[in-house]
Amino acid sequence: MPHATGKITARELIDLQSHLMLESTLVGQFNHFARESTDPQFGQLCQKLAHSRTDCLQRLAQHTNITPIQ
Amino acid sequence: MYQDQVTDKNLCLAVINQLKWSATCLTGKILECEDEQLRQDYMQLLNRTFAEQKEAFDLAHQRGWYQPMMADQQMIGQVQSDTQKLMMEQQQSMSPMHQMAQYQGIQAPQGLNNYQQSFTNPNLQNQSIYVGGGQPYYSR
Repeated sequence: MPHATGKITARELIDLQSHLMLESTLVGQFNHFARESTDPQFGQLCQKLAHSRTDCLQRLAQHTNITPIQ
Repeated sequence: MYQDQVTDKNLCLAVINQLKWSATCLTGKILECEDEQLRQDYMQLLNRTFAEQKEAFDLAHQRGWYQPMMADQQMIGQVQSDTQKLMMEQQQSMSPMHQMAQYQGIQAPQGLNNYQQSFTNPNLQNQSIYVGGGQPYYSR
């Protein structure tokens, strides 16, 4: 959910940005691991994790929909 | 020799470590978060991360890729002994405080009596103050 009040602390914003970057890295890595793996079960797990982290990324990204304080 | 080889084991251990790191980062962010909705989202994400890390760990454990070192009897004995010592020290340090609290409960210090008497009606002579269990009790 975006910040309806348009208020976000500087710390929250920095943390949010860094976590979005972390989640994005995880998505890339888990997709890469899924392609590289030879164990089918592990490959499926990596794919599942990549989808899950994409979902997290999208959810968190909604918080960047911030209206500047007038 | 072949530690750098890309194997399923190494990839799985990397997954576990990445998820551990993600959980650590999320915990820090939750503790610093003021916005309730963002905090809730981080917490849901953290719970999901815990579940995923457990799933990866279980797979690694099944495959024999991740075998935590078990504590030996000597280590267990040492921790038990240290814990017992710690508990005894804590009991000893608490004991004088307990005794003092009980003593103060039965016999209020002179300064305290004077302080309490200053709040009583000066017209009420022979008033005695009994302090029991920390609760002042006034009687004529």
